[in-house]
Amino acid sequence: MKLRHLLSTATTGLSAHKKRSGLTILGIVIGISAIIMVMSIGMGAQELILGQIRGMGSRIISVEPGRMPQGLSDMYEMYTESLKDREVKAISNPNNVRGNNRVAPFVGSTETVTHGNEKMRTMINGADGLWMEILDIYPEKGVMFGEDEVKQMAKVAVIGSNVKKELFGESDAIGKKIKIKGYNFKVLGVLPPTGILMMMNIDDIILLPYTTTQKVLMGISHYHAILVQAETEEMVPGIVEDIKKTIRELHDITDPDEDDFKVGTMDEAMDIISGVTSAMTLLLIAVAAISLLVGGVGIMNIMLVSVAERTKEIGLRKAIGATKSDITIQFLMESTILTIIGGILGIGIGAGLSWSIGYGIREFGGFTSWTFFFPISAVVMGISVAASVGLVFGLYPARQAAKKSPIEALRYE
Amino acid sequence: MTNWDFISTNMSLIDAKKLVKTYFSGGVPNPVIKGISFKIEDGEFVAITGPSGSGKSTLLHMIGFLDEPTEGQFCFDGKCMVDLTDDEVSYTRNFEMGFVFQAFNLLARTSVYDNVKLPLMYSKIPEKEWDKLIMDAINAVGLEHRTDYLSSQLSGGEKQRVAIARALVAKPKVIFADEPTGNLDSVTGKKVMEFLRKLNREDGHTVILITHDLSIAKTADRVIHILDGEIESDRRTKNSKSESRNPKQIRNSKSKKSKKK
Repeated sequence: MKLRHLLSTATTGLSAHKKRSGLTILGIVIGISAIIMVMSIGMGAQELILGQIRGMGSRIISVEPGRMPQGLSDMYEMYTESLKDREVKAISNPNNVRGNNRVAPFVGSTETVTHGNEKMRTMINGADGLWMEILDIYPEKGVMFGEDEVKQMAKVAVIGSNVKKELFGESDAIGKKIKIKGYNFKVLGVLPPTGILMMMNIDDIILLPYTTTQKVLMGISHYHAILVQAETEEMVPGIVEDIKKTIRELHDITDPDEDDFKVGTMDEAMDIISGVTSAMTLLLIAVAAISLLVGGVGIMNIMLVSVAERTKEIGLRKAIGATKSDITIQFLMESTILTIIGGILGIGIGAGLSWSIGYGIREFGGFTSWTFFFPISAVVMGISVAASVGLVFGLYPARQAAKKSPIEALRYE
Repeated sequence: MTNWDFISTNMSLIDAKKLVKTYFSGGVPNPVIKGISFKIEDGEFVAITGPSGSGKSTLLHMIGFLDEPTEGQFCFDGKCMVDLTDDEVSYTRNFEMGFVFQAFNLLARTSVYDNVKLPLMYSKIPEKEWDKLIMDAINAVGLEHRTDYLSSQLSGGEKQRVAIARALVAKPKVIFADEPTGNLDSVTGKKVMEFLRKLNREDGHTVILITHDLSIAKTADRVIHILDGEIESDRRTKNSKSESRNPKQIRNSKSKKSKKK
């Protein structure tokens, strides 16, 4: 039988039960749209994160205390106090680490900050001018504190737009005092509304000199990270090696497995993040695929009902010369057409939903750089998965139909 | 495939040798056909009669390649069912045989034209010849004014005529009719019988008719009477005295060149 006739025979069979056919494909529609949604949003999230890291430039190297956990019990060892002024000085020394690099320590904390009667709990970033250069954000009003303020452990602050709004409302904040842990800090600058960068909501941040944060506010002598901006991109791998060597010497470490610090580059960070987001996306796709399985069983069920109902028709077709494969193909065609229609609907619905979710994330979630992804590969995959579900779950009913003996079928009233 | 014509000159169209059909219900054998042998030549018009339960339908199923005998051998036009694959059996049914059933068995919600087309869709006849074959068949049963009607819009007699058109559309050698008048009133039934008679006389189709109605059976040239799974009598009717004919010539003259295998 020719393809065209098979198609028309199959569509005639399906259109006889429009409502039932529609309900049958619901499972496929839901499954495929869930998969499309997960793929699209997963790609959007990955691009968002990678885009932010990429924006910081590939010259950035971060040195952090602790080491990669070697197991669950090792997790406690992650935050050690291995990076102090000694390490910052050693890394800054061109005799130890090649190139004319910029080095800046970083400490972070969460504190309650007040101004008059206004009060909020927010993130404190202890840093210096390099922080701004890396994130490429500069005060929209006032100025950033300079090296002198850092050296003198000055009690000065640059605040995010949200902090300004919470504490000062509409009135001007520059020159005013805010109180953190009993110390008064003079507001030097206010950052523009930025949203989320590097997984931090910049609008909620208070930026203080790292010296002040470390010594005065937190009373510690270690840092949470040391940021290094390499002189050139090409020098990054060499600098990473130099830093490792320098700190190992300083800490008397011979076995790299014993490192009490870790050095990361942006490329590594991107690799790790793509790995994590891809794994997450795959996991979610696997969950969504379960609904396809359920949908497939639904298709099989309805096809079996259809085969039983049409025993007489099958018998007649066989009596007048249809071979087993003619009947098998006819019913496989019906189930596959059903699932392909379901797949197409699912792709449309999935694309629509992920666009809406992306819109929400962009407009209400603060991720202004969210991009909507709708890859062609998702369309191809959606349709081929749907078609395979139809083939796999349609096969058993189709074989049952083909097995029917013409006389048994014709006798059936 | 081989051209079978040279073989069939020496062979009967239908050759049943000691056919036995036994059904087993719950392990208990229930013999329905108890060793029947007969031959039917090309161009004959045979009625197989018998009371209900006599096994005549079972016999038709076997000689129509719809069912296999438990014992014995059945050959159609020199081809024996045991030697054929499933697909070859299907092709033979499609190409050499036409079936007319008591319950018509038309496709619902389908036009007369498409119902008659059905066997062609499973055949190897080139598509460009279909329309002529379909219209010839519809004209032969006098339903040209109903071509686009749905099968559900037809009367019982018309439905059976569509079924006959469907049976003869691929110009088969033999038409099997299982109680074709069983669901029809006597006047309509008589008309259907006239069609079958005409197909046999004028178009050279072998017609094998199953009926329990002896007055219907009289239309045939030969009546095989079955009782309790055995042939009780096999005799010619007075119709059979008609002129000698060569059925193959008649069929060929009706443009059978469209059939290719």
